[in-house]
Amino acid sequence: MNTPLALVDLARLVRETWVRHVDQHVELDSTNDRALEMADSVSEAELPLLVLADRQTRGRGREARVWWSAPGALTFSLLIALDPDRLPRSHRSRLALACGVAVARTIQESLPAVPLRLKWPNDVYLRDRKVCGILVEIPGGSAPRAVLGVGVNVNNRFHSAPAELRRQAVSLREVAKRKFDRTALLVALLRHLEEQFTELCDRPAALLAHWRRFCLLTGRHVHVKSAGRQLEGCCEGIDEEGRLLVRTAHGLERLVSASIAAIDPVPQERGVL
Amino acid sequence: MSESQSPGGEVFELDRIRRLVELMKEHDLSEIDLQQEEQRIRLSRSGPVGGWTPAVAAPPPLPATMSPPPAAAPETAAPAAAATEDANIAVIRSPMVGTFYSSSNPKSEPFVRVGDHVDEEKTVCVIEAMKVFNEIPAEVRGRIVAVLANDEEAVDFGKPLFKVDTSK
Repeated sequence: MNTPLALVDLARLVRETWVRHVDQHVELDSTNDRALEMADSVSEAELPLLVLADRQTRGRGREARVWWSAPGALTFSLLIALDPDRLPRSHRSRLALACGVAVARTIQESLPAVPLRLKWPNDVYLRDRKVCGILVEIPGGSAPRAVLGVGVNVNNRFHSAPAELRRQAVSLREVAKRKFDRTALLVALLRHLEEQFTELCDRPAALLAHWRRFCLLTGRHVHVKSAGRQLEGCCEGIDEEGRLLVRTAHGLERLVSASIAAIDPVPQERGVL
Repeated sequence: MSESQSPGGEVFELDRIRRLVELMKEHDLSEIDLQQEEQRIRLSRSGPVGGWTPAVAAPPPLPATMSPPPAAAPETAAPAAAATEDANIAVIRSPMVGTFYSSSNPKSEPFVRVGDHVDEEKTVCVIEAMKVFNEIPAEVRGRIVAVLANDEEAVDFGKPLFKVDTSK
């Protein structure tokens, strides 16, 4: 049985990470919604604020996709302050990349032998299946803040999930054949989130370099939907702004907003992730 | 949403588009439709309140943007609500490059509709870039008189999104 996050040592979270306040729930519709509700009312001294739920009943993903939640996943949202002097508005989109790198590094520490990749901009993949979803939202209130929503498949299993989902998703437990201490994983992840956020603000080029090392798509033929268009071509990674580079038959596309519709299989000689 | 560096994109040169717009105004044309090899551009003046609606439709390789790269856009110049030719009409412009969403998700009601009253902090839309969803506040008080962007439309820095009558 999974240890309920209700039993997490909250004092440890505050003592060992950059979190200053924890808003913990056994069950929530969506930790992101809760964090967005609180964004304008909490003081700067309470940030970062961690909204933690043992279960999310309506966790959201991109385009209103609902996060399939099963017992054993780690789902939380972190409400942080954005200092415009440290992180200009034009760099805020890179928050998604920073979150992806933080999750990737956390998982890599636990599973160093398993190839781990990031699918632009911030989906975390183990063996070509998604292990973590991230949803970053920036509320329009008077104080510049961001909500970093993270859902990691830790001890949950997908044997009872819909067939399509079983082909696309995987948990750490299913890969490692063992259970994980979610509290320890959460502490490690919060530390990495702080590190990557600092890197994003102070050394953005270094963050992009770290992200590139995990890129799932570089060198692969991709099919992309972007603003009503469908493109295909060879992915050339990301540029200095974090935009996805796709070399099509008509030139190089720098994509700011896009979803990856399909990735051609990896040629045999390159090995399988 | 992208910037394109496709070869042979002469028909989309910004100066040429500006000249076309001037010609349309001068001769009171409601629409022009040009094609050069595989690329095509259609400019229409049939927007909801007479605004310009550059509808670009063509075979595959169409640039989604016709303005300078967003990276070059000055941070401090992010226009929120700017005065227009009508002193009472303010335009809410996109502060960033991304994809426009009128609601928080496809099943939700739009943040605002024509006729709605807004204040400075009212969220009027969401713009997504690199999977970061930015709520855009009105930053002006008044009544929405026009919605100038469509759901899931690619928007550039400074693209007009809404017109607001500040006298209402």
